[in-house]
Amino acid sequence: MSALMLRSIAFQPLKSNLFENSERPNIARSFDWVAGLIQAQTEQVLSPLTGVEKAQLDRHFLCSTMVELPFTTGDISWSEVAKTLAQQGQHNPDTYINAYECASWGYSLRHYLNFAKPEKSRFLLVSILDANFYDLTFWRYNENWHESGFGITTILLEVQGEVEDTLITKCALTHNSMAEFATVVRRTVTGKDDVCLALPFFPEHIQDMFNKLLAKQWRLPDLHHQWGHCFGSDPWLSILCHSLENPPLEDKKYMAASLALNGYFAMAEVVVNQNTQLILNKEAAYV
Amino acid sequence: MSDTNLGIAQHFLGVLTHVPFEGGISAALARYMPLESENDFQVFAELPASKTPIFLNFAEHYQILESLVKSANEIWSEDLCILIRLSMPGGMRLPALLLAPNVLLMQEVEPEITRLKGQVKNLLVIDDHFLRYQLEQGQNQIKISLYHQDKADQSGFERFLAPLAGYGVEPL
Repeated sequence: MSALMLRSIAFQPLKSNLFENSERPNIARSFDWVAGLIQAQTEQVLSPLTGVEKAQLDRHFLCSTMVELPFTTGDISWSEVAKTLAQQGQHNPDTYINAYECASWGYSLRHYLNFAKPEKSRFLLVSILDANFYDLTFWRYNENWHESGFGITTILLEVQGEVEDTLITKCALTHNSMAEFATVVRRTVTGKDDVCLALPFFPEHIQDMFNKLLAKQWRLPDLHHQWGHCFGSDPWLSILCHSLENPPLEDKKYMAASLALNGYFAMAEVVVNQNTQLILNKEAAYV
Repeated sequence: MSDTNLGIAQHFLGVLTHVPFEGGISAALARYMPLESENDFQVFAELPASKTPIFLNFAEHYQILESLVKSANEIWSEDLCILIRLSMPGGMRLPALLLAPNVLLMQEVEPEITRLKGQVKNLLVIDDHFLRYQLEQGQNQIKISLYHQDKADQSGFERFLAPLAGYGVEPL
């Protein structure tokens, strides 16, 4: 039995050009706006939990790949953002992690599983934020992954047992991390015929490589043409879109996998079933 | 140093005063994002500037952190959790020791100190603002804290700090 149950999964798409309807505001205002979206999504995601279950939740990580410039340059500090979030709701994220890039969600989950207090270790929230706050051309499109997609993902995980085999965090040993990632993925799901892969979205030339290296593996379709590369959100958006189109009637196992540009991997085996709350919101722009 | 019911807390505050590997060759690793549109240039023209000197590159910064983590793993070989203030941009692949399960790399370490202080036997926190390229802000300072529950063992922290002087870190 897989030990990680996906109780809720939500994606809030964000416009590539966040400020199409207005002048680009200062960073503090942009973060105030995005904090409101995170708060709303957190409430949505937690709505199926009872009060007793919510009392067993005390952890919410906010991860990212490309939101770093506001913090690097000192335009805003994470403690200011966390304070705004804390004022808006009890279960909003208090920890910001982007060092592991697109694999940050997996390394956060690993830390939580290693160090959470047992009485608070049943539920975990992870959000992933990638937004083009400065509207930079590089983040819209670049040669590494072509079109980017932006948004906020929040997943609510229930830990139902030992997670030894169901979470993998690794780093590539070579500089061909894409091929190495595919090989690690293949090894990870070998013998797990009931586990479907949810992989990152990449342009066609990389899809071609996955098609060859993972030819026999069961995979969800690559949605790069629809969403672009949405950084660490990709595998969760993949599971969400598939589950909305094919509502699960029983337990379905997925291996959510992310690969960072610098070669960090994260893979988690999760279960989705008819009780998993699935939320796909309309694309938002700054207002 | 402070002694509370959560154990012993030891702190060090220092500043990097010169290049850490004097006489060595240092690669120019800092890269600039390609700028294309008018907006790209406008954004970068408005980013803050600082006069704080840059004494190291990404590789040297990671080399120092890796050496500190290796040393910590040897000194406190059991039940050690290390929090490091480290975030994107990464510049290059992190050394394996920094990706280990007993290390968490995060934007700000304070919330995690509050959570873990007293929960793990040895909690080591490395919070540096060593500048690696021009857009970063800070004063090249480093704060190191150890929260531990073994009141008999207070010499480990001094041993841990000893190599910092060799990198050009002076106490404040």
